[in-house]
Amino acid sequence: MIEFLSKHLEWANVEYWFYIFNDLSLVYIILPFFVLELIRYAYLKRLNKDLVLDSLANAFTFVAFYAIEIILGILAVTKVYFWVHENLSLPHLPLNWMTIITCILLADFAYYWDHRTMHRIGLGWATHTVHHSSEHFNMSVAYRFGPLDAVFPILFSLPIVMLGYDPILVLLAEVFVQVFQTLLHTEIIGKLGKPIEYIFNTPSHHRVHHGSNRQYWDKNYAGILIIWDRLLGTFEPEVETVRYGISEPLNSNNPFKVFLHGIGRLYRKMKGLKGFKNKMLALIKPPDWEPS
Amino acid sequence: MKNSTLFFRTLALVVFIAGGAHLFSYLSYDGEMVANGAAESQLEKEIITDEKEENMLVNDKTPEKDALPAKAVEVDKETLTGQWKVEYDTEDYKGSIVYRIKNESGKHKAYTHEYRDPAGNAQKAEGDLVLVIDRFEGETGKGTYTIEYEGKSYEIEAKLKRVNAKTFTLSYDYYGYGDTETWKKL
Repeated sequence: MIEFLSKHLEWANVEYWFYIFNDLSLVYIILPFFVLELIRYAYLKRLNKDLVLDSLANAFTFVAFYAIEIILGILAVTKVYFWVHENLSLPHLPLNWMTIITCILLADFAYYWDHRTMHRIGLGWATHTVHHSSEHFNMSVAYRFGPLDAVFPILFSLPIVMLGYDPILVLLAEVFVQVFQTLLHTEIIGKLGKPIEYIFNTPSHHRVHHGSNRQYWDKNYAGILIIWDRLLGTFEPEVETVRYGISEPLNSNNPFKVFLHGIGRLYRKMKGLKGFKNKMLALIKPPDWEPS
Repeated sequence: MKNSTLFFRTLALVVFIAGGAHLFSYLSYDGEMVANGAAESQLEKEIITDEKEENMLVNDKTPEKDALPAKAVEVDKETLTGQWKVEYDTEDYKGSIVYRIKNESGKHKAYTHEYRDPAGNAQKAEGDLVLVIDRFEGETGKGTYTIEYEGKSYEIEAKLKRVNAKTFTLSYDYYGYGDTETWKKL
């Protein structure tokens, strides 16, 4: 076992494995699953104009998010990651299975905290509310991103680079977590077996996360492992039927409105607050915060 | 849950996971050293065989005397200093480069010394720093190797492995672009 975990791996192989899991998953699992969901919607007579427009809006937000991510990457992020790796990092870890497994675990844990932060601070919710604003729940919702969704993860993945992990490996692990998360956006799969539901994040757990029912707010932030929620007090099982969406519904499928409504709402909130300090506090305090 | 509880649980998890990886890396590095001493790799065998043949032809001595296996070689860091030749046979460069390793304030650094084409013509090199040996304990070591690709220089991590007193291998893997060079002492 130790021999297997410590065996030196070639980068070309590692990149190829992640290419199969990360990049190709869209072709061999996500798109086929989405088609299956559409068939199910049609069978249940729920395939309507709103669902189609909602899915198109999701695709639009993904294109906008991806463009921002590419621009950020080209401008600075990649360089910052490598600079941190060279100058502010613990001794660099060798490329072996132990490094890959622990890197995915840390990327998953970083995802938990990134996700939790986006729910619990005003600026985070301004961008992440986009993802939650759909009243549907299918694979296309996984691609519904806000304008700053590419920025927040940087803050949480840089510490992993500082721990000695290669920046490229960290990025690949982050995408791996994101791909796993994508697969959870479905109503087709009910509850899985108890051991799986106890350890892993499942569609059931993630439906709870998307619920606008009061008891489901700010629960189940996990990416791959639900144990992070269990350990840090944010776990909630799926009991009551989930109502998807946000407490203040958007009622629009206009892609621009979908993409920017959170920022607009935060701007209007800040504009309405008195004093510079309160305006700044609105950025870092919870989304429902009001000055006393 | 209290913020302090959240903080300490988070810290404990990060230390446990990342600490585990570092501890594992440290232990497997030691293990690698032991394994290297116990068994010769295919490459080592090839190099030793080459040397045996060379010695038989040139010196007419018994091969067992000159080409001792890696585990039998007493490794002295000071044997690193001096000139080392590396053969290249790539699209970019065919021939050999002679490097000079110097001990600078306790740190061993390799500089380009001479280029030699396959016909044996030599040309003096610019004396560029190409390798900084961070550590070379026993039979394995690590260093920072500078490679040039499409006009840009990249500093990458390299692994060093002692084959015998006069030979070590340097290997690197930079996101799939990698090689193993054999450095032979002149």
